[in-house]
Parts: sequence; C-alpha cells; structure tokens
Amino acid sequence: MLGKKGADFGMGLTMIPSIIILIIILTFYIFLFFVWGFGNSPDLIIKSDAYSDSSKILVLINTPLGSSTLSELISDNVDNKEEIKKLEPDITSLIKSLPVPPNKNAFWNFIVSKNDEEILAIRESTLGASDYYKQSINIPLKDRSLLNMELYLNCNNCNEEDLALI
Amino acid sequence: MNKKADLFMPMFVLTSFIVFALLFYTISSTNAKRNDIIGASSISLIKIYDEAEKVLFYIDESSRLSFDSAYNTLANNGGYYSNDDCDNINGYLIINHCKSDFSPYDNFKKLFSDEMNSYTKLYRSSYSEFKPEDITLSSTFTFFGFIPEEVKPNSEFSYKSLLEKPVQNLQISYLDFKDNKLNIIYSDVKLNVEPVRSSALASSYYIIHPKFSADVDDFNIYNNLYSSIAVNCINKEFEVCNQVLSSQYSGIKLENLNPIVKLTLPLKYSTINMAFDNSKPLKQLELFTSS
Repeated sequence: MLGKKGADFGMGLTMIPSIIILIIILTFYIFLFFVWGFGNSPDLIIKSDAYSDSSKILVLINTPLGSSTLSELISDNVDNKEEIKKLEPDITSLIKSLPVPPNKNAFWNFIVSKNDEEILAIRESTLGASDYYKQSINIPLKDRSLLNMELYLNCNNCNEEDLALI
Repeated sequence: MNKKADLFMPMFVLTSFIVFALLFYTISSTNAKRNDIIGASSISLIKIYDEAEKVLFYIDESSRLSFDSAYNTLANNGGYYSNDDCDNINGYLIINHCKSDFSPYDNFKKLFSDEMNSYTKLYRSSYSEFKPEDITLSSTFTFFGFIPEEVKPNSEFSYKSLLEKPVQNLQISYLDFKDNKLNIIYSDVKLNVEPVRSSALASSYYIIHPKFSADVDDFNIYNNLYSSIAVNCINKEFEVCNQVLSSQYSGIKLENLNPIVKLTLPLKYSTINMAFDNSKPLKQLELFTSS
C-alpha cells in the first residue's frame, strides 16, 4: 500500500480492476470514434453510381440506320430473327464508338429482350468485371407487348475517377 | 482503508462509461435522423428529366404505331371505323351498305385514340428509385423506437407507379389535319420529382407537353371521292363512272361486279379500298363530316 498522507487512492482491491476496465472502455471508444470514424459526420454525399442517365441509350436507339432509326428497325423486325441478326454488325460498331475509360478493359453491352426473352445481345465482358451506367428503356410493340433495351458498361478494375472520364 | 477513496475509481470508470455511451447515442441517433443527402435533390431533378425523355420517346413510338395502324385501317375500310356494320365483298367494304355515317375524320380520330390507349395502358417505367445507404445503427435505433420506421408504400402506390399513371391516362387534346400533315397535341404529363428522405411527394414536379405529327395524304380525298361516286357512279353506267373517276384520280382502279363496283385508289402513304353498290343511293352529302 502507498503512503497514507495524501497519496492513498485506495490502491487496493478495486484500483487495478478499475484501471483495466477504464483502459478497455477508453480503447473501445477510441476505436469507435477515431479508428472507425464514428464521430465524423456520415458521408451523406450521393454517390455517382446512384445515378446513371439514359442519354447514351436514347442517342443509340434514335440513331438512323438507313431510312429508319435503330429502335424502329428492332421493333418492326422483332419476330424476324434473320433481320435482327443483320443489325448486329451496325449495332456493334455503334456501341464500339461509345466512350470507355482509357487503359481499362471496358466494353459497352447492349441487350434487347421481350417478355424476359433475349432478342438481341451484344455482350463483351472480362472475368471479375463490374457493370456500370446501367440504362434501360421500354418501347411498345405492335403485338401490345414491351421491348426492353438495356445498355451498360462492363469494366474491369474501374474506379470513380476512371468512370468520370467518360 | 479509506472507503470513500476506494469507491472513487470504480465510480470514475462507471461515469466515464455512461458519458461515452450517451455521446455515442447522441451522435448516432442524430446521424440516423439526418435527411440532407448532398446532391440527392439535384440527382432527382436530373432523373426526372431523364424519365421525361423516355416518356416522350414511348409516346412518340406509340403514336407512330397507332398512326400506321389507324391510317391503314381507315383506308382499307374506305373511310369507315370498322366493317362490323357494313357488308363487304372480298374484303372490300360496300360503303352504301353501311349503317353508320361516312365520317372519315371522326373515324380516324376514334381509331387512333383506341390504338393509342392500348399502348399507353401498357406503359411501364424503367425508373430506378433512389436507395440511400443505411447509416450505421439506424436500423437498431428504429428497432428500439428511437427513430420512426420508414413505411414503404405497396407497389400500387409506389413512386414508380405514380410516374406510370399520367402516361397510362394520356388523352388526345387536339387532332387536326393541315397542309397534308397530321398534328396531335396530347394532355400534359405531370411527373412528380422523386422525394428524397423528408421532402414531400409532389412538392416539385416536371410537366411535359407531348406532341406528334406525321405526313399524310390530303384527308379531304375521302369526302371528294365519296362525293364523286355519288354524282358520277350511282345509277350511272360503269363506263361513265370509270372514265370520270380515272380522269379525277390518277392510279384509281375500278372493277365491275355488277351491281357492286370495287375501287382501289393508291395514295402516297396509303391505299383506299372500298366498294359501292351503284344501284343504291349513298347517304346525303350534307352528312359528310370534314376536319
């Protein structure tokens, strides 16, 4: 036991366990507030991936191919597989002209489906890649069903800065 | 042993724990109630413009399909809405065996409107609703009732269905043929901006004014042809009728199946098919309705 004159903090049965518990508590809260960053204001800035506009798909489907637009050609020939197949080279060259992040394995994919059945699919992807900028549109067909067109970017190791460049 | 001093350290530890716990609760519950997501309102506005572009595209496509169908149906029916109340010969509608009046303008409007409604009723939005990231422990505080639970509406009243309804209820406000052009103005489509967190629905909205126009043949040709048949063909010799109509309309073909005459008139954007019984009068010319 320490000296009795002014230095007795009760260093007995409770002192050491109390200090241990205090250290545990302090460590826990230091971890919580400083390591985990709990005390910081939460990141409530909306992230870019919360939004992807549809400008690219709108431009793509309104692109004239001959006397009709791409969407007219697809919707008018939706039940004619041969005619749809003939459109593939033109669509491929169109989507190849869309911008992709530089120095990355990135490809635009274009999928057309009717009642969840794929009518046309131009896909290119790499292993472990993620999809970005998903944009889709529904258009009516003569048989009173809907044709869904989807465009998205498949990119390997793309971060927000890479995506911001396109 | 000093018993008061003996209690000091445990009390200090306990007080520290309580103070930190209160601090932890205050910060986390305040954060969980925050609703000012920076950029969310701007994104909502951009998204509604984007949705409006898709709606306009859908209405345009629906109009194109409806126009093609209505315009060709009208031409195949010789200006009538349908062949249900008319006799026909080899698919050619006999215009003076029809119960309804000859009114190509109204019939086109009705045909177009029916077609358009069948497409707009189908409209499904591809809008992807905003999903904010959960703030740490917000679900725990909701569970214990410290912050109110966010009630999600069922699909019928979801934000997406609210975007679909104005399109599904689209009406034709104005339809006219002028200078060989069809002009259609639709009712306004009011799209509510997606509410983010605490903002109320319909606190801001975006209104679009859909329009459609298409090149057409001179729509008065129906009335002129009808009039010409009434004057030159009814109770007249087929040869006289054929000669007069051929001189008036280039490319017209008449086939005599006595007393029925089949008529085919190719135009720039359609081909009028009809038949008439030249032994029976046509309805009075005054009944014609034109635009």
